[in-house]
Amino acid sequence: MVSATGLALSRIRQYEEWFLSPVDLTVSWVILIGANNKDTQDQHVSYTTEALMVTQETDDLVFHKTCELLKPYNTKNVLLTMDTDIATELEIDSVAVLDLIMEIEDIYGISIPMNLMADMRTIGNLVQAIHDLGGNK
Amino acid sequence: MSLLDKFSALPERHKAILQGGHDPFNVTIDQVKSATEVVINGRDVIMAGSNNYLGLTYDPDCIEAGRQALASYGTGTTGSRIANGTYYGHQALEDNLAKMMGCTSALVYPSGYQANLGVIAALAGRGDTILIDADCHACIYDGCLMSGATIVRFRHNSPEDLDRRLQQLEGDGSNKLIIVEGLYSMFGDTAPLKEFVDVKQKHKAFLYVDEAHSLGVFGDHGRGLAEQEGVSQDVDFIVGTFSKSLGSIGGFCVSNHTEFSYMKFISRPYMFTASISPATIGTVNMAIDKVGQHPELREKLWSNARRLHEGLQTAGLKLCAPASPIISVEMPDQESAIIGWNRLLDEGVYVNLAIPPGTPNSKSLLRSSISAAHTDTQIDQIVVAYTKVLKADPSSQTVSQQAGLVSAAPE
Repeated sequence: MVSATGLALSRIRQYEEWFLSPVDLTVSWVILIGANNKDTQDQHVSYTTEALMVTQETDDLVFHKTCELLKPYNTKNVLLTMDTDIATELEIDSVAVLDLIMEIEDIYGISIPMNLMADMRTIGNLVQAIHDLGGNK
Repeated sequence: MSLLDKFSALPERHKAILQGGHDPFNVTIDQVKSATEVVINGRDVIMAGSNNYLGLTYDPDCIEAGRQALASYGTGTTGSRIANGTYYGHQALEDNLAKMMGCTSALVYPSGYQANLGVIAALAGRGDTILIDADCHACIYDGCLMSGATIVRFRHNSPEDLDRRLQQLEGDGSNKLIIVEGLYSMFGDTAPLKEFVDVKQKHKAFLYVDEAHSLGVFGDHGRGLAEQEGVSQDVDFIVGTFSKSLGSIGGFCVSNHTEFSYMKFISRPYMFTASISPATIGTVNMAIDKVGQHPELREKLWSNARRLHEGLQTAGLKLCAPASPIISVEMPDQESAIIGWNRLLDEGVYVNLAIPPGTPNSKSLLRSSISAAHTDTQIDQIVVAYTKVLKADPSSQTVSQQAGLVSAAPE
């Protein structure tokens, strides 16, 4: 029988194969471990892990949706990863970045305050902000 | 990376912009002959990019008022009002402004930029939320960033998007300040102020309107778009500038909130800078009187705006908004905008080149601002120049393709 954690891992690997672009799995895995430590009863572990997996799946989808939105700007065909610096590597001007974020806000029904944007350099930062603001729920 | 390395890409960008011949962002105007005529490179040029909406820069009464103030109070105040004192003229100007705008209080700043910086940063702070129209001017963005408040950007001219975002913030405990402009400087479009007022009231927020380009242009008294739309009393703070329709330099904010008078003690761009000069006070005070006494200036401005808009539309050019004193032609790309701008100058017409990131939606524009002082002949000359430059080839190729500077886009 596959344990909850094992199931979660296998699904992550499945996604890793589906998506050609690298995804930061390490951080997700820490979250899963943390969840297991909180609940010791098997049933709860299973439930919590499944719930987190749903979040993780959507984080991956957020990443890929963001990459889709970035496509028109990616004139140099830079390989998009969670670590890609949006402004410098893709050479997108500051106003275009704001407009891109507005499109993301529309998709997820959230508002990303401009104050956060100074620290939002990479695609991974953006995905994390969407996660933190509950946009991928 | 060294401190200055971030500038390394700029020379290349500047070189690309210089490709058309003149430097669009560093034009030397050798001589100013009138509100609408200048001399550039030894040639007479029609000024169609000045924001001199009412043409008051050469009004004899304004000049005389400035001359008298200069003779009476000297060349400058040499310091801030809190340190060096308020001149009689400063107070008289604020009283005159409040009266003209139908508000109880007015505060004057040395520039429109500083007015936005100073008022926004004083009004909002940590724990407050500012909702800003996406197309607001850079100084509004800078004021928001300086304030330390949470800044949420909403879709340009969309009360629905504003409403949705305010709904999301419901119950967060923060005060909400909504900031929009009256007439937007790049496309020349206006804000749906009535709808914004409805949203403001629904969410118990404050509304701040920058009338920089709409002061003297809209409303029976020339107070701006809020007056024209009949919502002046629903706007909490109106900011404006003296450097457009009033033909001088400086900025201001007016309000009916009694607490607004405390702004003098908390607004740093007011407190820690030299106050506007006596000559400026003199000319602006007279210009305010002119706005109130000469509604025919506004009528002429609008008649000129409609004439240019209609002329350019008839010529088949792509315009960004319905007729207003700001008329922008949308160009296919930056290169064609640069070439078009150069050719217009060669044809004797000065307009503004507006390219990303200074423009909304990454558009490249040739922007004209019309004046009440333009003659019909000048407007027709502007239309002829635009038509000659941009519609020379009926196949509608871009100007840059015609100039052979860039290759035609692939099919």
